Order: sequence, then structure tokens, then C-alpha cells
Amino acid sequence: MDEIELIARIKANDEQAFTKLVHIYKPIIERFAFQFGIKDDQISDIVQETFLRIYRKIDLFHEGKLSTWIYQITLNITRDYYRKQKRQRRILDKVQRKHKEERTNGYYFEKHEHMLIHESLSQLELNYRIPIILFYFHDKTYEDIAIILNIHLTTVKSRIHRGKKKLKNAFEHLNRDEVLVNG
Amino acid sequence: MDKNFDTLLREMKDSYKNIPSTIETEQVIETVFQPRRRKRNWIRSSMLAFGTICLFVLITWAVTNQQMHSGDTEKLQLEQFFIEKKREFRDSIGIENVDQLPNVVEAKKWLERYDDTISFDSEIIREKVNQLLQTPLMQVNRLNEKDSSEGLIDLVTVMENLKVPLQTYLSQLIRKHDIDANELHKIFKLQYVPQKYDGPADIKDFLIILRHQGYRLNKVGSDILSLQVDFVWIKDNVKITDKNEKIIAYYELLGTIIDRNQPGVNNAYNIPWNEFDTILLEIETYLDKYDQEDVPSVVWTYLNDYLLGGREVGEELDQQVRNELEGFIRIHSDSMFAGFAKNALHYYETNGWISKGEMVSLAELDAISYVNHMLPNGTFDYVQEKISKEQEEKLQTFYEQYKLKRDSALLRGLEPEDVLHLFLFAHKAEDEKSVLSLYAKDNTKQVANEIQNQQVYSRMVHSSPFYFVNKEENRTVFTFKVEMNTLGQIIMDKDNQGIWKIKASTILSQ
Repeated sequence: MDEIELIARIKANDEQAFTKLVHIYKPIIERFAFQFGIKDDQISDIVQETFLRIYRKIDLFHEGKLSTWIYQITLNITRDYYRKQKRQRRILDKVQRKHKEERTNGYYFEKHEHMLIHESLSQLELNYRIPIILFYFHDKTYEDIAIILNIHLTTVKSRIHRGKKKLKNAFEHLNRDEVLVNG
Repeated sequence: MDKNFDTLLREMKDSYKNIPSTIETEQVIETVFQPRRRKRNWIRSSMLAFGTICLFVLITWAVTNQQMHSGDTEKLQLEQFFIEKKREFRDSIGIENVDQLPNVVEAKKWLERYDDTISFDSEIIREKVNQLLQTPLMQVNRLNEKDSSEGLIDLVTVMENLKVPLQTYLSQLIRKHDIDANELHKIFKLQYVPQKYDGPADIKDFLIILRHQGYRLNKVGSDILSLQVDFVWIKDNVKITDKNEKIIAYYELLGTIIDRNQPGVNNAYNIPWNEFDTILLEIETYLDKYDQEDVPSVVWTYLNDYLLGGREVGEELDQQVRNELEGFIRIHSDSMFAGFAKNALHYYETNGWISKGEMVSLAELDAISYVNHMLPNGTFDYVQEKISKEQEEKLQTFYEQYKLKRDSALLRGLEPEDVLHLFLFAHKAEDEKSVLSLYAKDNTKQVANEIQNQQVYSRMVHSSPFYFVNKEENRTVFTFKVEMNTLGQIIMDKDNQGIWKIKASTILSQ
């Protein structure tokens, strides 16, 4: 089934076609939400809400890449959840976050540096974080990112460039702390 | 841009593929297509339910009718009760065959006690069977229906009780599948994401049960997995109300940073000693928020391990310990634990930087919690321990000399603690003139009343083995715990000749 046929069948309320769409995009949405910095227990809510919105608004989709359109919906919903997430400023958060990550994420990452990068990413401003996630972890081109974020192509390039610099600084800082504490 | 960093970023893409799924596809489809399906299913399930109820009524009537003509109805009802409870337990716990679990075996034994020569009341047997065949999930559902803080304690009791049978079951599974150290480590690492575990199916199922019932696994050494209550699960599953908010807040600490089973440097959360300040400050925030006086005893271990730099007795302490203590004093000067850090620093500076057995006693920790609770500035500069016999003898000799002429010049150069002890000697000896001479002059009008009010001094002599000392250039305050909810204070001032004398004393009760 190609993309055009898939869309047509979903518009015709074909449950099987929609199930296929879910199979393809569910892991992508989960990964995106996780990379964005959403708490584990809220990712499934984002997934459900994204697919509900896709189902309800599929008739409004007419042109362009389906994946770009789905990423736009995912980004909007994820951003909303992220804003609602209560930011705790207590020092407990620092320890809890670190040890919760070991508790939940310790087995995800193949290298320890990956875990540190993930933590550094969570500290990056959204303006830089989102383009980096889309470019490095979702293989999106600059053009795709420009459409998804509704910004100029040159802005995409400069945000990725600056964001990488900031990410690297944050990563090196964390890595230094780790060496200091753990040797 | 650094090529290595770019490579790392690109590798992350594959690393992120390890993230487990948070929701099944079927669930998503159900959510999206649910409204249409609900209508169709409702009629079908209603008819099914009605049919089942009819059948159940018929069978029950038939059985009951028969039973009424048989012998021991009570025993039969107990057996039915046991079967029903066992079924509920099995359905809740998710283990197919529960008959070999120790708690189920124990519940059956209680049933058999009905026939014993010393028979038990059937109500007691029902109660025992009910207690033994509870799961945390069942208890949580019950708890959320009623708003009670006692229910939380019952929940933890149920969870602690079920630990043993589940631990036994786990051990059987490990033996059955001949699990080696590597596999054990995998089970430990994947306990929070059991769907990712690709080992034996029954172990995977067991990990899922642990998640549902609120347990976590601790690794002890390389070859033992120990079941513990997951307090975070309690916090996530129990409805928080005004009545239980305080306990739940404490459970959150137990589930994340405080290991109540192995507190201190050997904690299962792998929090290093130099992050114990976080734990201490969180406890303090908790005590302040919920207006609680007594410090949980587990804090004593964390506090001592922090002040001892996580070292064993006799080990040399390095610059990191010094930096840590100085940092704590500088940044958290108003913390109730700051005084202990100051005390520790003073001790190390005067005794060499060698770790000793205990820096803070339980009594001192207990006392500071009262000071923190009752005084606006609940901190101190150091702990003055009760004087040694040798010091006492020296001071006694000095007192004997002093009382002959009560010459203030003799007091010049003495520390406030020394003058205080002289004062206590004089008080104990009922030497009124010496007592008066050790009072600050402008306070003499109050002296008569104060001497009448001898409580503070008597209590100081008899009760506390130590005092908290707040020392400024010209004023020193000694604070000590008299009894629950009661603190004593003695204030001393230095006059313009540099001599310390008693200014005032007071008892503070809550």
C-alpha cells in the first residue's frame, strides 16, 4: 500500500489502514516525545492524542508529505504537554532526575556518553533542541524542518549549528562532572 | 565542529531505538475507534452479564439448599470463603498456580485449625485468611475508596507480608531456569521495562507482576536479587488527600532518595556520600512543611556518613571532604544540620583529618529537631559535650579556689563553658554567694527570682549530656533538650573586662 492509497483508505474510515499508520508512526512519536524531554508516563497520552487528531483532521490533509504533516501535529501536542509539565526547582529534582534516568533509561543507551547527551539535550532551549532532534534523530532535511517549524531555511541551518555548539558545551560540562565524581 | 561529537550524535539515533513502547497499537486503535464500538458491545455484554447472573443464582440456590441439609455449614462456608479469597488473590497477583506460595499455604493451615481440638472462632480464621490473601493492588483499591492515613500503613504491611512469598517464587524461577550472573543483571536492569526482557516468559511475567503490585528489585552482590517495596508505586497509585499527603510525601523520599533498608553509603539508590546533603535538606524541607518535630532515625546514618566523608573509621579524609563541609556551611548556614557540619569541621581541624566512628549521636539529632522546631533560628555553632572527669576535677579545684574570695579577676580568660560549669558547681553546692557573683551585675534584680526558679540549672546538671552552643563575640547561648517539647536555654554575656557571666535562663515549652 503506498502513501496515497493509505491516505485515501484512512479518509474512507478504513480501520485496517489506520492501524497500519499507527504501526509506522507510533514508535516515531514515542521517540520524539522522549527526546523532547516528556516524562515517561505522559508519552502514551501524547501518542493517543496525536493519532486522535490525525484521525479527526485527515480530511484536511490534501498536499505535501504525510510524514511532515504528522510531525507538525506531534510537535504541537508535545509542546503543549511540555509547557504543562510542572518544573520543579527543588534540589531533589536534580538527584531524583539523575537516578530516575538510571532507573528508567539505564538500559536504553548503548553508551554512557549517549545518556549524557540526552541529559544535555534536555537542558537546551526548545528553539535549538527541536531542530537538532529532527535533523539528527529523525533524518529530516533542512527543507522538511523548515516546513514543520514554519521557519526560513537559513534559520534552520543557524539553529542547528548554534544548538550543536551549545549541546557540545553542556555535554562536556556534564562529562567533566562525571569524571570528577566517579573517576 | 568536532567530528567525534557529530559521530556521537548520529549514533544516538540507533541508541534511541532501544526505548520501549509505552502503549500498544491495539490500545491506540481502541481509543480512536472506541465511541462506535461501545454502542455495539453494550447490548452484547449486558445480555451476557444477565445470563451469567441467572446461572449463578440457580447454582447457588441448588448448592445452598443442599448444604442446609448437611452437617457443618460453618466449615463449608469457611472453605467457600477460602476458595473465593484465593481466586481473588490469584486474579489480582497474576500468577496461575498460587497453591505453593507460602502465604496461601499458611491461609490453608488456618482453615484446618477449625477442626483442631483447640478450635478457633471462624471469624478469626476469616480475618487471618483475608490478611494473608491480600495483594497491594487490592489494598490500594480499597484505600482509594476511603480516605484514611491508617490505610496506608496497612498497605505497607500487606506489601511487606507479600515480599516473602514473592521472593520465594522468584528464587524458584531463578533455580528453574538456571539463571547466571549476566542474566540476573539483565533482569535487574530491565525490571522497569519488563516488556523489553527477552528471557524466559515466566520471569518476564513475574517482572510485570512486580510492576503492577509495587515492588522493585535490589541487587545484592552479583548473584542475589532482593525484593523491596517500591514507595514510588504507592505514591503513584494512592489517591492523595489531606489526610495522607504527609505520609505520601515521605514515601516519595523513601522511594527515590532514602533507602530505609540500607541507609547511608551502602544505599541501593547508589547516591554517593557527597550528595547526602541533598537528602538532609529534603528531610528538613519535609519537616518544616509538615510541621514535624522528630527526625526519622534513618537520617542519622546519612548525616554521619556525610560528615565522615563516607569513610571507614580511622581512614584519612581528603580535601574533598573539607570542601564539602565548608560548602555546606557556607551555602546552607541556616540549615539545622549546619551546626553539625561546623562541629565536624572543628573536630577535624583540631584532631587531624581522620574519620571517627560517629560524629553525631542519635540524642543530638533528636535534640536538634526540637531546636529546629521551637526556635526561629534553629541552628548552632558547635556541640558542647558533657565535660570529662578530668576536666571536672580541674574545674572543681578551681571552684574551691574561686569561692574563697570570689575574685572576678580569676574568671578572666575563661571560656563561657568553664564559667557555666563553675556556676553549676556552685548551684549544686547551694553556694548562693558564688552563684550571685557569677551573674551579670545589671541582672541582680532578677537573680532572686531566678535562683528560686532552679529548674533550668537542675535540669542542665541532670539531663542533657551535651548542649548546642551559639557563640558570638559578646554573647553565648547554651540550648539543651530537657524533655519532649521542652528546651532549656542559658544566656551568657561578656562584660567590658572580658569576663563571661550568666545573663539569663529560660525554659521553652511548646
